[in-house]
Amino acid sequence: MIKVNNITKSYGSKDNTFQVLKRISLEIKDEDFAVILGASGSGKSTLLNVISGLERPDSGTITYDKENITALSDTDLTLFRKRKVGFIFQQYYLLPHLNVDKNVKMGADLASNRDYRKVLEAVGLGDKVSKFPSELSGGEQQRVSIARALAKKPQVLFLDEPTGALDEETGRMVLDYIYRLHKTYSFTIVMVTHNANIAEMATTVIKMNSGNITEVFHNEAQKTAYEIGW
Amino acid sequence: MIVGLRDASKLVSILIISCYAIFISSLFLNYNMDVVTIEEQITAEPMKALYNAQVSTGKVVSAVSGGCLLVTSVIMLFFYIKHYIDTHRAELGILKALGYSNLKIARGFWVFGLSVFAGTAIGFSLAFALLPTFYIVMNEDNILPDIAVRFHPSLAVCLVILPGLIFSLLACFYGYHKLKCPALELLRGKAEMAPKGKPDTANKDLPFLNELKQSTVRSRKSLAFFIAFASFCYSSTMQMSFSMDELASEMFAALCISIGIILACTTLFLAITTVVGANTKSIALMRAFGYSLKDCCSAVLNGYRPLAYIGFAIGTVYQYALLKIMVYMVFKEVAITPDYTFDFQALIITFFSFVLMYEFIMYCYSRRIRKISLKDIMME
Repeated sequence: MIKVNNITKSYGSKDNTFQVLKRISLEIKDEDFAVILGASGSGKSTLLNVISGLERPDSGTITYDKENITALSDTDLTLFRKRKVGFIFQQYYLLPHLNVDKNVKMGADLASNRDYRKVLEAVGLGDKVSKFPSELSGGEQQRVSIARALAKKPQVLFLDEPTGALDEETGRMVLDYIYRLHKTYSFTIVMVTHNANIAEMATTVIKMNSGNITEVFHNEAQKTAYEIGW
Repeated sequence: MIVGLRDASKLVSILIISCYAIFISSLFLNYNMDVVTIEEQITAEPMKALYNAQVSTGKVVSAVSGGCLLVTSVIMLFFYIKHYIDTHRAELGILKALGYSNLKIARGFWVFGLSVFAGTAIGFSLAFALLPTFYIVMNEDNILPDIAVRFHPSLAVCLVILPGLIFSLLACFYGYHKLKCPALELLRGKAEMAPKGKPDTANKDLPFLNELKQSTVRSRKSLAFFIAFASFCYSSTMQMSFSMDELASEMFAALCISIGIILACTTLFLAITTVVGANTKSIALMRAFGYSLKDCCSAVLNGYRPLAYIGFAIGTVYQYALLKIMVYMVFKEVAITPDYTFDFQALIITFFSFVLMYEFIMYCYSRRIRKISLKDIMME
């Protein structure tokens, strides 16, 4: 269970501050598929960065079960990310000089996962292990980043606009992999998107606007990537 | 102006090296040109021997130190232009896509030559200011008649104006050559392409950090060369300076040590700054995934350590061979040739000082790596 309690976050200098998160509180249950939905500038990516331990909030607390990550030192926060979380970004951020196998090994080694090639098979890249990122399409690169994140066996997977750089067909395929892998491996998903259709795949939807949570609701039935609109 | 003065100002290392190259060359070449005026007054045999030895020394020192330092400047200039194109490929790609010709874009690269011009001008001025003292030191036993310091305009043209012009032209030509690729290739980013050659399957089961360490070195071979070169310079010049103390004078020893330290530090600074800059994304991502700072530093910086020590070893052998040859050439017409043997004490002192310097620089850069965050990369 992730508990976010009264967190605030501002950017800028003393005279010109901009509050991106305004006293946000929420709860995300284990194995939940949570989507943070909002327009550009609503603070959704900052919320994801803060919850995942990439950034520190100005005030408030974030607890994973009973572990308060806002009280951790930088070294302990790094250890926390190593143990618990995985990331998938809109821009993939693959290491260009390493092939697919070695990119995925980056995540696998953190969890001493020697069976990481099974994840590569699961995302349909079993035959492309020796390819380099520049030799792959956008969809394939995003699948490598999914495999890299899952190879470290995260308890919580954070996704920041994972289909933002992809066309509809590839985007649906990537979401389908995420949906099916979530069912198989049972981790918690926190995904940021501006696309209201994608939110229909979630169990919990958190709507944001101008740094505030405007609505939280639960979908009665999850839709698959091929059932949602685009 | 496509390339701004601000970009040229980043070539501080080239400025320092060209300044030092011209400083040394100016001292010895000016001396050699002035010493000719007293040639007719030299009749006695000991005077003639000293005169010939000093002229030969001047030629060798100018050619070896000035030449080596200028060649290093050229390599660094090319490296920096390539790096500039790599880091500004989107802007350059847009210019090409809009219809700017390669020549028009490359013409703007002349600004890079300014750093060399500034360096040579400073070096020449410093040398000219120091010439009266230098002449006294060169003739401290008063064996030769007094030599007056003269300004040689031809030397100023050859050592200040010409290098500036040549480096500006080289920058334009090299820039033109590097820009000869499709605009799309620049826009998409050639650096993100797959490494050339056969796919690497030999090291399939190495841990990720070792894989990254190896690929970091392999992906930028020029940086590996610079780091080995920096160690080579430090090793050879420092050890040479100990021998210079016995074979020549303390002034030569001081010149040698300062060349070594300046060359090694500026080259290492340029290379390691580029290594860290080029791996910022990898470091940020590794930190986000939970790799420790130690792991990140090890993966990015440690791969170069063996090369640094190889460079040091080659420098040791090189300085021994060079001094043997120099002793033979300079003293071949002198009755008593000094005995030169390998100095193990110099090797030990140089090695420990090198280890201290190298590890201190690595420590400073690990502090810099600590400040890299994923947020900065995501904001790009």
